[in-house]
This record gives sequence, C-alpha cells and structure tokens, in this order.
Amino acid sequence: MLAELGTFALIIALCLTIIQAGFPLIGTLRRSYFLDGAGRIAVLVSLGYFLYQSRATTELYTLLIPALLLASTLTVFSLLGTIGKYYQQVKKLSAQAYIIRAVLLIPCLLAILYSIFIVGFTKPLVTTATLILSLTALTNAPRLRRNLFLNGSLTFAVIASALVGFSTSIIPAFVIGRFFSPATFGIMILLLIILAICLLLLVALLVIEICGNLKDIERLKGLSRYSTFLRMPLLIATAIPVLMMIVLIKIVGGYYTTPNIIALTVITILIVVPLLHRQIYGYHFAELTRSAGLGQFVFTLLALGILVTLFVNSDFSVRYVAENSNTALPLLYKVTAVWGAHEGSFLLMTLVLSAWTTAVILFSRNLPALYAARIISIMGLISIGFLLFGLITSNPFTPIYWEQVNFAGEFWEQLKRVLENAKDPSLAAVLNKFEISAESPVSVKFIFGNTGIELFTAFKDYNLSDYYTTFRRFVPEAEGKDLNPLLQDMGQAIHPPLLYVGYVGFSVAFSFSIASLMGGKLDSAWARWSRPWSTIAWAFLTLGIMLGSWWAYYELGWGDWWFWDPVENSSFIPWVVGTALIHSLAVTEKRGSFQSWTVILSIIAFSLSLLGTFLVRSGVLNSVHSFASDPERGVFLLIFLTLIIGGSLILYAFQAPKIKSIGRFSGFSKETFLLVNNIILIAVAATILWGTLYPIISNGIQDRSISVGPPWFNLYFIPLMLLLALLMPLGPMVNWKKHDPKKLLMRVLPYAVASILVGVVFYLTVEKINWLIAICITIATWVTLGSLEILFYRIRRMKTLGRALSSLSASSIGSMVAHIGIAVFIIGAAFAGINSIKKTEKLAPGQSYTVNGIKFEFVSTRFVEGPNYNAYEAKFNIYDKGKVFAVYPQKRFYLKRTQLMTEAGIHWQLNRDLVISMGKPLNTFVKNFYGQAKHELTQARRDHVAKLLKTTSWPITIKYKPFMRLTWLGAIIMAFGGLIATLDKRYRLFSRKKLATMQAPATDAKLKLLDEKK
Amino acid sequence: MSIFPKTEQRRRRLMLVIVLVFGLSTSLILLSLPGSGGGAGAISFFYSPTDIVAGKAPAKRNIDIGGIVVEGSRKQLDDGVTVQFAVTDMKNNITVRYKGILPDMFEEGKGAVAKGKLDDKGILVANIVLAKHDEKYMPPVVKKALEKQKLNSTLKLKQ
Repeated sequence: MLAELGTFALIIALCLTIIQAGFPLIGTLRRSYFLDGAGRIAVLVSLGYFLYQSRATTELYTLLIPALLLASTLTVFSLLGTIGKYYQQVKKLSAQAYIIRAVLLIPCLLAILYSIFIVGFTKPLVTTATLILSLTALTNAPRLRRNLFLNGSLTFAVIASALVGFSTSIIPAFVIGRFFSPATFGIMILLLIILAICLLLLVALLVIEICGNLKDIERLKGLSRYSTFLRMPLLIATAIPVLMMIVLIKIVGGYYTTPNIIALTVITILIVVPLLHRQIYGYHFAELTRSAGLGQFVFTLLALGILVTLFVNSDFSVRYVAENSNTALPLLYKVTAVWGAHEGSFLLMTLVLSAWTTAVILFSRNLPALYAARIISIMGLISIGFLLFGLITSNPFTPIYWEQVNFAGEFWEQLKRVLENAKDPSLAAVLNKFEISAESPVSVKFIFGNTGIELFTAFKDYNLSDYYTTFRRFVPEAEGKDLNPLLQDMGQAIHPPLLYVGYVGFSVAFSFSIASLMGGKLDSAWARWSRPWSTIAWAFLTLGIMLGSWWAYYELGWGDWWFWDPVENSSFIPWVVGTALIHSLAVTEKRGSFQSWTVILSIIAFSLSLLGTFLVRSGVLNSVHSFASDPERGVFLLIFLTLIIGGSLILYAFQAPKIKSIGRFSGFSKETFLLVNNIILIAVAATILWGTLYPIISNGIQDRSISVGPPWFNLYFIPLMLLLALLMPLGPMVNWKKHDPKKLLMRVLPYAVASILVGVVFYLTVEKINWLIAICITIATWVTLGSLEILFYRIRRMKTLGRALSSLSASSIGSMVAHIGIAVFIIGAAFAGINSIKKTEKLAPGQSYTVNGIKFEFVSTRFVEGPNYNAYEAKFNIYDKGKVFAVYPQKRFYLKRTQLMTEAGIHWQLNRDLVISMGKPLNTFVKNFYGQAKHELTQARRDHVAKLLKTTSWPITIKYKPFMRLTWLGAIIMAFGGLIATLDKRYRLFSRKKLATMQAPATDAKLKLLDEKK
Repeated sequence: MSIFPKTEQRRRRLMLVIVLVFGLSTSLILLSLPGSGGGAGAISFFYSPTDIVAGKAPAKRNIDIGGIVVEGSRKQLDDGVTVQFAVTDMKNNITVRYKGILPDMFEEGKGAVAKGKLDDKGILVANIVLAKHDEKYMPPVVKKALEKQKLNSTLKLKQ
C-alpha cells in the first residue's frame, strides 16, 4: 500500500510540474519578456524529465486522472480571478503579489532539488533540467507580477508542492525510519511536525491571500509591516525541500551529505532573492541575503566538521575516508587528511569561499544596502557553482557502496538468503518484483522506487539487519587505504587552507567589481572598498604559495623550491595578476582613473584562480601533482568558468561605456609608473600562462606532446621581474599627476650609485658571485634603499624615526615593507638558483663527504618504527666552520600504501641550507626488511638488520643551497607588508558619517525611497 | 554603445595597448617554437619508446620519454648511485639511466616520465625522472602513448 503511495507521490510531482508549467505559459500571454522562452523550455524539459522518471515505475495512464483534476482546479481559480469583480482592485495588490511570487520560487526550488537528488546526479539530462529550472525560478516570478487572477492557483500550487514533498519523502522515510534507531525515528517525527507547521503556515498565507482579494486592498498594500511575519513562513517553506532532502539522503544512507544540501539551498535563496530585489522588498530582502549567507557558512562549516569527525572516527563506510585515511594514522594527519585529496580539498575551498562571503557580510554593514546585497549575491552565485560541483561530481560523503559495481549481486545474494529462510508468501511476491530491478546494479532509483519501500515494509518483522548495516557489509577494507605519505606532514595542515584563502579571496574583488558594474558606477569609493579585500587575499596567496614552495622543497624531494610545474604556475599566475590588481586599485582609488582596467583585472584575477582550479582538477595537464582526473569534473568546471568569464565580460561590454575616467595625468607621473608596473606584470602572467598552456595547445594542433621546462620560464620571467624591480622604488616616490624627471633623478642618484657600487664590490671580491648574482644584488640593494628613501626623506625633515613613521600612511609603510620583501626574495632566489650544489654519492656509515668545504660525516643508521610506517634513520654530522650539527634523514616505508617516502634531513641557517636525502639501501635484506608488516619483524631479524646496517651503503644526495631561506623570508615580508597596508586608517574608519558625505556607488532611486520610508 | 573611444588620447592609449598585447602574444608564440629560445631543456618533445626505436627522436637534444616502467628492469649500477630501468609502451622498451635518487612514487609497473638526452647506444641519460604523487594518476602523455599501441584495453594497466 505504501509503495503505491510512493508512486502516487511521483504522479503528484508530475502534476505539479504541469501546474508550474501552466503559469509561465499563461503568464506570457500578457507580457512577454525575452526570458519567457527559457521558461517554456524549462517547462518542457521538466515535463520530459518527470515523464522519463515515472516511466520506470508506473503506467502512464494513471497520470491522467490527477493531472486533469489539478488542471480543472487551475481553471476554476483562473476563471474566478478573471470574472470576479475584484479584478481592478486586485491589480493594485502589488505588495501581496510580491509574496506570492516569492512563494512561487518554492515549487521551482523543489523541482530543482527533486530532480537533482532523485536521480543522484547521474544523468546529464537532469543537470540540464536543473539549470534551466533555476532559470525559470528566476524568471517566473517577475513575470507573474500582474497576473493576479492566478494568485489562488499559485498558492494552491505551493501547497500542492509541499504535499508532494510530504508524500514523496516523509512517508517512505517514516516507514523506513522504523528500521533505524529510536533517535532516527524521533527525528523523522520531528521533521513531520515541522513540515506540518509549514503546511499550516502556507494555508494561512492562502487565507490572507483570499482575504486580500475579497477585502480591504488598500490596507493590505501596506503589507510590509507584516512582512517580517510573512517572510518567516516563506523561509520555513523554503526549508521544506531541504528537510525533504535530509530524509531522502538518509534513506540512501549518506547521512552526512545533509549540511551540504542545506548550504546549497540556502545559497540558492541567497542568489535568487537579491536578483529579484528590485521587484520585491528591497531592503528587507537584502537583509535576508545576509542571513542566508551566514547560514551557508554555518552549514558548510558543519559539513566540513562532519567530514573531520568521520576521519577522526575512521568511518570507512564513506568512500573518501576509506581511501584517504587509516586507523593507524596519527590524529593530526587524520584531520588534515580531510583535504588530502580532491573531494575534501574542494569542500575546504567551498568553505573558504563562504568564509569570505561571511567576512563580506560582516564588514559590509556600512556599504549601501543594495550594493552590499549585490556583492553578496554574486558571491552566492559563485558558491552555487562550487556547491553544485561538489555535490554533482565530487561529494566526499558518498557512501562506499554507492560505487560498488558488484553491489547488486552481493546484496541480492544476501536478500535471497533471508527470503529463503523466511518462507513467507508475501515476501516471495516482493522477491519477484525485486528480481526485475536486480537485473541491473541496484541504484538509487531502485531504493526510492515502490519496490524498495515495499521491501522494507515486508522485511520489518524479519531478522534482516537494517539497511544501513547491510551496506556496511560491503565496505571493502577495515583499515582504510591510508593518506598519501607525502601529505602526512605539517605542511598539509597549513598550506592548502592558506592557499585557498588567497585563491578564493579574489572572488571578493571580483564581486565588488561586478556589483559596481551592475550599478553602472565605478568610482573611487568602489576602489576604496575593494582594496583591503584584494590586498588581504593577495597576502594570503603570497603566504600560501610560499608555504607550498617550502613544503615541496623539504617534503616532495623535487630537489628544488620552484619547479615551474603547471600546478605551481596555476597558483602563481593569479598572484601576478593580483599584484597588478592591487596596484591598479591604488590608481583607481586615489585618482579615479584606470577603472576599466581595474575591473578587467579583477575579473581576470578571479578567472585565473578558477582556471587554476580547472587545470589542477581536470587532469588536462601533465603535472606531477594534479589530482586524479575525471572528465566530468573538467566539463563542469569548464562550463562554470565560461559562465563566470562570459557573463562578467558581457556585463562589462554593456556597462563599460558608462565608465568615466576622471583623473588626467601626464607622461611622467605615478600613474604612468603604475601603468608600466601593470603592463610588465600582465606580460609576466601571460608568459607563464602561455608556457603552462602551450603543451596543451601544441598537443591539440600538432598532435605532439611537449613539455616546457624551467629554462624557458626563467628566460622570460627573470628579465621581466628584474626590470620591474628596477622601476619598483621609483613608483612610490613619484607624485600623482605630474612629476619632474630631473628632480626624481637627483633624488635617487645617490641610491643608484650606492647600489651599483655594492654590486660591483661583491662581484670583484667574492669568487662565487657571477655577473647575474651581482646584478641581482645591485637591484636588491636598489629596491631596499629606494623603498626606504621615503622614510629617509621624512626622517631628514622630521628628525625622529617615530615621527617620520607616523607621518606615513599604513598603506605606504605596507608597500615599503612588501617591496623590501621582494628585494630579500631576489637575493635568496639568485643565490639558491645559481649557486646551489647537488651531489649524489654512495656512502656507508663511517664514511664522509665534503661539499663546498662542509664535511658530511655519515655516522650510523638505525631501524625505527612509526605509527604507520617503518623507517631507516641515518645520522649525519655536519662540520661547518668549526661547528658540528647532527641531522637525521629517514627513508620510510608506509605499510598500508606500500610506498616509500624520503624524509630529508635539513640543517638551515639564514645563509645556507644543507639537505641530505637517502636513496634505497644497497643491501637486499635491508631493502626488503622494512617493507614487512610489523608482526613479521622478529627480534632475531631486527638484530640481524642492525648488524647489517653498520656496513650497508646508501646512495646519498647532498644539496647545498645558499641563502635558501631568504626566498621564503622575502615572501613572508611581502605578505606582512600587504597586511600592514590593509590596516590603513582610511579603510578602518569608514564610518557611517563619512559614508553619508560620500557618493554611494550604486545609488538606486528606489532604494533611496525605501530607506526614506523607513 | 560605441566601442571606439571618443577622445584622441583614449584612442591612442587603446592603440598602445593593442600593439602591446599583439606584440607580446606574437613574440611569445615565436619564442616558444622549438629551438628558438630558452636554451637547453627549455622545450622538449615527448617521444614514446616506439618513436625512439623508429629513430624519430633526435640524439643529443633534450627529450621527454614516458611509459610504464618494465617490471624487474630496475637495477642499481655498481657505482651505487646510478639507476637503470626500462620504460615500455607495450611494444618497445627503452633503457633509461639516471644518476641520483628516484622519486619515492617511482615503481615498476607504473607510469613514469624521464627527461634527458639519448646517448650513442640509444640509452636515455635522464636528468629528471618524474613519477606521480597520486597512484591513480597516469600522465596524459603516457596514457596517449599507450593508447597509440592500442593495448590499453587488453592490458590491465595499473593506474
């Protein structure tokens, strides 16, 4: 009986789609907007989809009766509305119409979620339907504005859809729920109650609606007073599909997907509402946007929290956990393993994006409401893409059985056994039905289908363990496959989060720009708001890249700190463009010019971040550390990328003519310098991008695989960067608008001479310094002195350092610090890049080897055991300038992954790094010994190995890297400079008072009116 | 909506930007053509073992070679620091020699890419050997080379 209910529910869903379809079709008869077409397509697609869905479980003719019933109801309501004498009055009922329209969104959302989750993201048709349906959701509502005669049926539709949600999810869940624990059952009941309340509220809405039609319309027009009350049911009503989904997903077994879904829904509100903003409540909905954004963050955080919990508890019923964790993994790495592979790291990225959204929400109180709402809404748009991507292609919560191909067979066998033992005629009937479905692997559809429910109903009295534990039996491994050993390191804990903060951070600048473009006004206020966000993102990206370099250096054993690997490049290109952006923003803020350029830059910076994500996660690149590839992911990201870039560029094309540049400047001015800075940086970014993508392009055109190596990148990167560095100190010194070149020359001449002298002296006196290093030293000195010049200049005039410093703004101190960071970096990169030494030698304990005057003595080797690995640890004594340092490199064998891992022994000082890494032991017994499970390592064998180790020789690589630490120190200083710059008073003291005197960037007449009314 | 800037100054600036972008892209394309810039190792072509056996690969130039490391082919030479192994595309094998420590992920039966020069005996003297960090990952070039041999479906490759 209940199975029939499930089928019935599906039929109602179909009917609902028909109703939903009816509105746009009828609505367009009165007013055709150019988006109507989309609505119609949506209708057709959704119809087709539901027909397709129902085909599997029901006969088509049964659809007709309820469909006809509903259609007649619709007709009756329409007729009443049209014929009734209230028509003219109803027409005025705008305030109420707004609510109705918002309510209309619910069936749309419902249909979206319904189509997504019923099919479990497997069919492209569904994805298409979903996207088009979201379009309908956006376009439907405004179109119905004047068609108030439809109000009655609209509300009816809402109630009907809620009923559908009720019947499709709750009732089967209720049945299945009884197989679960009492707690689960309790939750189910709770959901039922909430849903019932929602239904009641919707009925209340209908009553108000009808009252509005019949009674005092003028009074209801001022319905905004009740809006708070009315918006609550709306919110709750929107929560219905969410709650539904919780239940649905629960049936499938993936308990943990829930927060993700809620976040997706919330974010849908986040995007939909402000876009309807002009038509709806304006200010109030802007507030709703904020709450929704916060909600999104909370739920995404919860999702990550749950994933962490899963990892900590080693719940291997979840595939992602099983593949990336292990019971023996130390707790810290269990936590960091969460972002150890694609799915989890993407969830982290999504979380970081919503964290940025939250930050914008919290710190945008002082912005004009509409402007802020637009920003948050655009960030929401991006979030939708991220969340959808996560849910569709890479959900970390996917239970492990989901992808077990042999699931059907095994599950089937198990069921058969139970059925045979049961010997019940009713079960046999189920068995027959079941067999039909069991021909193909058991899918989600099967579980939702009536047979599934029937099965559960039939089994409830028998001793078949509940569904969940049945699934658990298919978990292939009890221990988990373990985290990639390379990632079992502190670097994994900090590098990805920081990098993502920077990567995703450019979305804020992007959103600011797009929101300003939407408002058609790009002024200095926009640049001022956007600047600190961009700078913070830039600073984090700097730190993230630096950590990545440092980590790769000591952990990945690539032998270098920068490899020009495509994956590195894809994080570095946004950094370069971001650097251009923060400089261009300065001009836009201070002088009101370069707006177009700045907008384009912010679009490019963010697009490149997305492109990087695409390159890394789609597998199109030959990189040693791209993620395992999946074409579906690539396609999704490519579509997303196209939408974002295409959309923003179209918007730009439309709005660009409105942009007016105010500031004029002469050929020799700060503006010119910053322009040159931008051109060079763009050239750098273009070069790296070209070098990164060239292998793909070449492969496509010539069908030849090639690789572009570090020498190519260095050839272009180094001269361009040195040129940039050469001009760097001049920029801050030159005045805005106009500067006398002669005066500048006089001012910098002493510093230039001093720098050249320093370079020459080093070149002549130190043997190891070649001409390139000498040039780098000169330039670094020049950058340092030149950057400090402003300070010297002020000290001369103000006598004390304190006074000079306080006379400078935080942003100029920040830029000074960041520029000095570049100088430090240049020194480090020059020495480490040119004067490094790498030697590989065969060494045995007792032997020693000398590199660059430093003696490395191989003291001993011993066998050590880690939690999930065995290792040999060598002891080296380093004799450097009369001092002795001991380092302990290791060669580890991770047992679960059967993977080797070289832990380099590093001794560092500011002026040099010494890296010792071990190869494989040159003794077969020793080589095989540490790859064996711990219980096989008997004491006797251990003793034997200990003896052998005394004589076993090893290939040992020794690296000497002068001034290695300075590259990272330089990056830290840069990031620090960026953070100082954001502390500038003019960002912080951006008070309401000041705002009032300042022009709002996106003044909206309507909004102003609304504000005044309030 | 006019695409062309109105003032003379803006027009000139636009021209400048166009010229810059154009010049830059042209030079990049020219420079990235093989042999035209960057010196040794800047740009190297990928060859499959079959290509090399067929004599398609130039000697004494940096090339990339990729394939599956032949099981049992890895051996340590007597100097203790040079490793020798063979890569295959399931049709032909090429011996690779590398002085240094191989990447930890390097394993027999799995994909690897070696960069270096061919010597007189047809042995690739590699200066870099790359193996994946992720055991599921197969470098696209290796995959392609293997697919060319049309053995991908019959031989169950360890991906």
